[in-house]
Order: sequence, then structure tokens, then C-alpha cells
Amino acid sequence: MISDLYAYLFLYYFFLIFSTIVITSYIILGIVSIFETISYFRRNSFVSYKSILASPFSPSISILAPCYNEGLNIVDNVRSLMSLHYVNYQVIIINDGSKDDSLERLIKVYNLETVKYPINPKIKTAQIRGIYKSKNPVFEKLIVIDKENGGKADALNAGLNFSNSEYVACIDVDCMLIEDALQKMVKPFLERTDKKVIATGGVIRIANNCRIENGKLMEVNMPKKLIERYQIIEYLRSFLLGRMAWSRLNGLLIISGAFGMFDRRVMIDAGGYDVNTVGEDMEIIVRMRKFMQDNNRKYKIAYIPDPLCWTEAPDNLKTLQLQRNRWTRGTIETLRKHRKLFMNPKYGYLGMLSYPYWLIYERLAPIVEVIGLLFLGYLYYLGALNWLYAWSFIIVAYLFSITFSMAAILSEELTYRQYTKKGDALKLLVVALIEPFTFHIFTLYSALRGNFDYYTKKKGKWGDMVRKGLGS
Amino acid sequence: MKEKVLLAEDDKTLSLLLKFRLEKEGYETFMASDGNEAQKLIESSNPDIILTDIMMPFSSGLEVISFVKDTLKRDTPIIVFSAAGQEEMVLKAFNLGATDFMSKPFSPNELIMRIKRILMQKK
Amino acid sequence: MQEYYNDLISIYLSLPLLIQVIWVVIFIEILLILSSFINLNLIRRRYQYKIIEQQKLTDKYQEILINYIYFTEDEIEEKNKSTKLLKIAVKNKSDRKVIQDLILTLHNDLTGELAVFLETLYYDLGLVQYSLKKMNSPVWFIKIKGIREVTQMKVKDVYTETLMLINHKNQLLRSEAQLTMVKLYQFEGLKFLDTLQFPITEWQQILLIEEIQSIRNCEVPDLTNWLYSKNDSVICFSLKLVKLFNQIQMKEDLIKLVQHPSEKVRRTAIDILGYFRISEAKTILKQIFKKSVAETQLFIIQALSQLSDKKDIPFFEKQLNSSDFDIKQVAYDTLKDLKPFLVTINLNKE
Repeated sequence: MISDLYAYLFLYYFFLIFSTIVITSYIILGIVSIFETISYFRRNSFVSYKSILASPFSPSISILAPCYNEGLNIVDNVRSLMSLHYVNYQVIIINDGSKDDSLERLIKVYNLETVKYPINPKIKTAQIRGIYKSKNPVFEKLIVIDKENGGKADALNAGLNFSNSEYVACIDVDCMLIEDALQKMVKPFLERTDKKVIATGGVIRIANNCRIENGKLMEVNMPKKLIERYQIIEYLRSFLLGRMAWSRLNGLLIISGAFGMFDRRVMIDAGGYDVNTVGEDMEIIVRMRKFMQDNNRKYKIAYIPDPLCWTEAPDNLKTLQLQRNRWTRGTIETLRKHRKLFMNPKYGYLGMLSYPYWLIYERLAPIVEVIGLLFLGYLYYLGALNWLYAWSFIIVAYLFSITFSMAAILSEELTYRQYTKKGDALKLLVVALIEPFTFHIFTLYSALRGNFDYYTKKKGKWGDMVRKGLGS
Repeated sequence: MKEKVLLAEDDKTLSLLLKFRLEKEGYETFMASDGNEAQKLIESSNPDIILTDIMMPFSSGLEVISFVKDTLKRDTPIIVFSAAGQEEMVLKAFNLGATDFMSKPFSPNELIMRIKRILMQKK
Repeated sequence: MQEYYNDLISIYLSLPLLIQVIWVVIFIEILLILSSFINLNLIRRRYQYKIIEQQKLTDKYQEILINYIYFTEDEIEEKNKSTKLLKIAVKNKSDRKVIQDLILTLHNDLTGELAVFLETLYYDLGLVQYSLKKMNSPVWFIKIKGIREVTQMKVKDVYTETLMLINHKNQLLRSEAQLTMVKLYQFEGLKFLDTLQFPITEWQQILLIEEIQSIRNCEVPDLTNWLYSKNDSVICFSLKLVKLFNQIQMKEDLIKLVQHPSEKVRRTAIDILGYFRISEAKTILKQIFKKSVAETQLFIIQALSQLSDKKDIPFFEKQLNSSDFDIKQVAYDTLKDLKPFLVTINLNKE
């Protein structure tokens, strides 16, 4: 039938063009990223971070860490955060109405007492129940805000209201920060004279199976499970071969919620975090960018590729699915909320490049890929499959995935070299070989479910990631 | 009986240099390259005086001081080294019970003088 | 064999163009994968090797160096032997690097006669020449290495070369040169502020101040000229120096700067006026308050709270109604100090 033929041709060319665009952009971003990472690495091997430590002119930083039912580890996490090698900073823990004994543990171990502080009500948050400081001068950097439950975004907003530092570092409380993380992250803010740096993003490294003692990273090991190793490759690809390039183009749309530093004033003026989305980390960046552009202010979002933040990654399929599901819904929510940006020349790179790319690649690509696979399956079922074409496509795609993973592993080797044990690279390689027909399919599935859940308006929550505890 | 000095310093060359100098002056020297090692050595060798850097990777000199004063409850004199600009840490060190401090860069001659003085006072 | 090969070629050429392209891509991918795999192995192996080798050399020269430092008078022969050995070793690139690093790291932590000893040793072994050569290299990061070594070893006669780099287009080189000027020539070195055409970043300013703070026994230079520089960041930097060295006599200039076109300069000047408690500034500060943006207003009111007396109560009372919370907060705190018993407003009531 003629119409069948047209449909077939349309789909065929559509997939062809779509994949070519995606693959080409992958390659371009990868190459730009590698150059940018190596250039950053070279420039920063000369930097001494000692002077900034205690200079009377060093900027003030507040670490904002929301806490919800962290009971098992909260004390260690806080101690780790308080032992960073920066002087002019405070640690603000926001207890988001934990149902366990997190708050009691903190009060006990750190000798906390209630204090009275007026709070900037600029951003609405759930009710604040109390503010605590330590009686012991050794812990004077610590402040605990106790509030009614409102979610991560809400807790961060409470911290924003309270803090009066120049910069805020928003982190996940179970993230382990390297000792000079604050200096390295604050540097971009102090280095631009032409544009205002409004945010800096950090790289998240996977702490599974690493030896952590007393809140300090002692030894980096390759995790044992394939699913954990898969995430390492994924993160390496994404950070080393993707985000650095976007940072260079000033097109970053997301900074990991696990570790990011922001200009506090700009963040508050832009309205603080949105409590109605599960992707608050992406949404705030888009909104801050829009805010700056609406006000005709030149700005930049920087990116630090150094391994500064280590966190525990999901080690089973269920938790991984919940995480990816949430990421998908967050992306959809953010893109929809800011759809005015799409191809809007008023917003320059943000509207004409970043947003469309995110829409096509992050949002639509999984769907297109699944449809493609289904289409292939359908042709097979009809016996109309041209094996030459099919196999060629499959092979080129598979090898592309491996090439890209190799590039990521190689870049890591040329720069930060966190995995130094014998056989580590090989272990990653093995995962790269099986990824395309195992984990990748799983990720596609999670993305689909995310779409499904979003459209069926399931009220998504974080999902309880059962804490194994950093250092156990 | 030789007096015992414990040196906790992560820079190998510097600690080797100091060890040489201390041994020339007639002290028995124990070396540790981080806080954990230092604590173990302090417990086992019971030195007469402790020299520790404030900022070492993986641990801080402050923990060493606290270990000696609060956990072991010894009154061993402690000298801390600090790089410039760490006054806050130095103050904390004194609050925890440190005896003296020397900022880096320092002169080994002066260090020896201070060690001698402190050990004299102890007697 | 040839036939088989020809057959393969003809099959390939008979394929549709798209498929031909794809297979070329596949071929490239395989090449890339194999070469990265080989590269990866090579890099890892080379790196392990380098580390082991370097450690061996470091241990070897560490011992030699430390023994060398502590040679006594009756060990003159030993000392000469060692000197000879080191001089020869320095000619070999990898040995030289290790020896250099050892001397530099040690020198970093020491002062007094040992530091001078190491500097002299650096000269005697001829390492200064290598550092100067680096400074003249066209590659920027080698230049920086050279500058650092020369600076640390207090090689004094590099004034002209360093001054030339002040306006180099590479920002890192500029920064390094500026730091060197201060490290080697103290306040004299700050002359580069006269001719600097590029802005100085906040980061760089902090680094410079750290260096300046360790200058001893020198008189603070006259900062006036720099406060009127065309380069805004030079003004900001000089203001920091004004604050650091308590140059209260500059108050007239500070008051003038409160109306400088650059927002940043204004804020810094305002902050210092409050810090120095210069009450003559009160009138002008109140004057510019209305026209300033919120962030600057915050600076102004913070400065005013240091300068105020009971006569200024109405001004602060007016600010209690400000739309900016931080400004309200400052007003409230100041009023608490000025008329302690009469203020009963709860700030958190909207």
C-alpha cells in the first residue's frame, strides 16, 4: 500500500536523521569537553588554594544540607562537613521534619541549644520549629534549623532564608566533600570580571566500596557490583564528555543537586527553589538563567571537574529505577514550566540551543529510541526486515557506545586518575561492553515509566533509598 | 636516657630533615605521617614531647592534641606547626591544650631551642 | 587470495551508499576503540613506571641532600664529593627535576640559615640557569614554572622581565608576574599598578594581599594615585590596602569614591568608611541612599549604623519599612542600640 510505504519512509528517514543529529552532537560535545577538561586541569595545576583559606577578604559561604531521616549517619556527616579546610563558612543543617531521631542525635552529640534568630521570610517555607546552635565553641560553625516537613526544595529555601553569606553550597547531607572543596568551588565566582558567575556545579563521584574513615576519603576502589560500575561509566561520560562542554558554551541547564554553589542573592531574587517539582536542581538553574537574561545581566555558570563530592549510588535495580524515574519527571516538569524559552531568540543560547537540545536529547530521545526498537521489531514480525540495514545500524550504534565509553575512561586517565588499582580500567571496559543491551535498556525502561508516571499524575516522592551508610 | 620526640608531619623530606637534626641533638625520634599513625605511636612509645603539623591529609593535628589531652590524659607538651593564616586553628589548638606553636616556614634552630626550653621547664 | 579481496571490494561497492558510509564509520570506530585500548594500557603502565622510578630517585637524593646539609667541618672531603656528584646529576633531566623539587619543597617550609643555605646551593648547582631558561620559554606554563622557581629562590635581578609580563594576554602569567613583583620587591613591586591595563580578579587580589601581609619592616606606600586609577579593579585593590593598613588619613578620597561610576568601587569605599567610623561621611551617605540599588543601600545602611548617633534615629525608623528584609534587619539592630527601651517591633510580622 502506498500509504504504508510513505509511513515506512517517513519513519525510516526520521530515525536516520534523528540518530545522526544525536550522534554528531555527542561527538562535538565530547571533543569540546575533553579539551576543556584538559585545559582546566592544566590551568589549575598551578593554583595554590592556600591563600584563600583564611584571608580577611575571603567570601562567606554557607553549606545548606537538608536532612530527612538520616538518623544512622547524621552525626558523622555533620562532622565531616565541619572539617573542611576553609575558614569563613558555616554548616546549616535543615531538619525537614524527620520522623526518626536525627535531631535528637545532633542535639546530644553537638551540645545544641535553642537560639532566637529572625528569619528572612522572603521565600515561603513550611513552619520553622526552632533554631539550634552549639554551646561548644569548637562547633560554632554548626547551625541546625528544625522545621515541619516540606521536601528537599522547601528545606533548602529555609536555609536560604536564614543564611546571610555571599554564597551557598547546596548539598545532599550524605555527600562526602573533599577538604578543599569549598575553595575550589568558590574560585570561579572570584575570577570573572566581565560576567557575574551565578552558580558553580561540581562533579559527583561514586563512593560505593571506597574506604572512608572519620568522614575522609582514604582509598578509592572500584565498586563490586556491575550496576554500580555502570553508573561510574555513565557519570564519567556525562561529566567529562558532556557538562564541561556545556559549561564552556555557557549552556548548562543542570547542576547536580548533590553539590552546587550559588550566589545567594541571585538565587533569592530569582525566587528560591520550586517546591512543586521533583527536579528542583534543574529547575532552579533554568530559572536563575532566565532571571539574569530578563534583567539583561551578563552571567556565567561554571563547572569544576575536580572530584570534590563523593556519594553513594543506588546498588540495586529498584532504587536505580526510582532515581531515573524521578530524573525523567523532573526534566519533563522543568521543560514544560519554562516552555516559553523554546526557540525564543530573546533568550539567546538558552532558548535557541540549550533548551531545544535538552528537549530533543534528554526528553525525547528515550521515547524515540523505544519507538525505533519497536519499529524494528514490527518489521521483523512482518518479515520485512532488511537484515543488512538492521545489522549495520545495530553494529554502528553498539560500537559507538563503546567508543564513547572508551573516550570517557581515557579522559579520566589523562586527568584525574581516581582509579589507580590494577584491573580497574578493565572492569569498566567490561561493563561498557555489556551496557548497551543490559543497563541501557533498563534506563530506557525507567525513562518510559517516568513519562508514564508523569502523565498519570502520580505524586512522586524521593523514594526511600535505604541508607547503607557512608563508611559502613 | 635519651628523651623521646614524636614528629607528625606529612612532608617526607621535611620530616627526614627534622629527624636528622633532632637525632644530632641527641633525641630519639619517632615519625608519623598522619594523625592516625601519630596517635598509635604516641600510645606505644610515650614520647616526652610531641611535634605535630596542624593540617595533614586525612586528619588534623587538633585530633592528635585532643587524643593526648582528653583520651590519654597525659600532660605531654605539644608544639604545633601551622602554615600562615591558620590563626583560628592555632587558637583551637591552644584551647585543646597545645603548649607552643611555630608557623611555617620556620627555622629548625629555633625549633630546637624551643624544644630544649620546654623540656627544661618540665623537669 | 587476490580474487577473494576483489570480490569483497565489489560487494562493498554494490551496497547502497548509506550502508557504505555506515561501514566506514564502523571501521573508524573499531580503530578508535583499539587505539584507545592500547593507549589506555600504555598510559597506565607508563604512569606506574614513572611513579616507581621517581620514588627511587627521590629517596636517593633525599638522603644525599639531608646528609649534605648537615656535614660538619671535619667532613669537608665528604662534602666536596657530594657537591661533585650533585653537579653531575643536575645535568640529567630526570635527576635534575627530582633534586630541584626536593630543594624547592624543603625551602618552602624553612626560614633562617637553612633557607639561605638552600638558596646558595641552588645557585652553586647551576639550577638558577635552568629556571631562567624556563622563564624565557614561549610556552606559558613553562614560563610560570620558571617564574615560580626564580621567585622562591629569591633571584633578584629579574625585575624587567617580570614587569614585561604584567600586561601579558595570558591571565595566569599576569597573575604570577604580579605576585613575583610583590614577593621579590615588596611595596616597590606594586608599581605595576601604575601601568596595569587588565582588571585584577578578586581571587588575584586575595593572593596579592596574602603576600603583602607578610612584608615586614617596610613603610606603606602612598596609595593616593592608585585610588584615582582608570582601572577600577586597581581602585578596589588599593581600597583593600587602605583598609588593611588603616590608612584613615585617606578619608577625603574615600568620601569622593562613594560616587564613583563603578558600583563595586562605591560599595568598597562605603564599607571602609563604616569600618573606620568616619562620621563626616554621614551626610553624603544619606544623600546617595535613595538613588542606590538595594544591594548598595544595604552597604550604606550598614556603614551608617557604625557612624550613627541619636540624631539619626528618624532615618533608621524610616528604613524599618523597607521592602528589603536585610535592610530592615540592620535598621532594627541599630535602633536597638540607639534607643534600647523603646523598640518593640517584631520583625517577623508581615
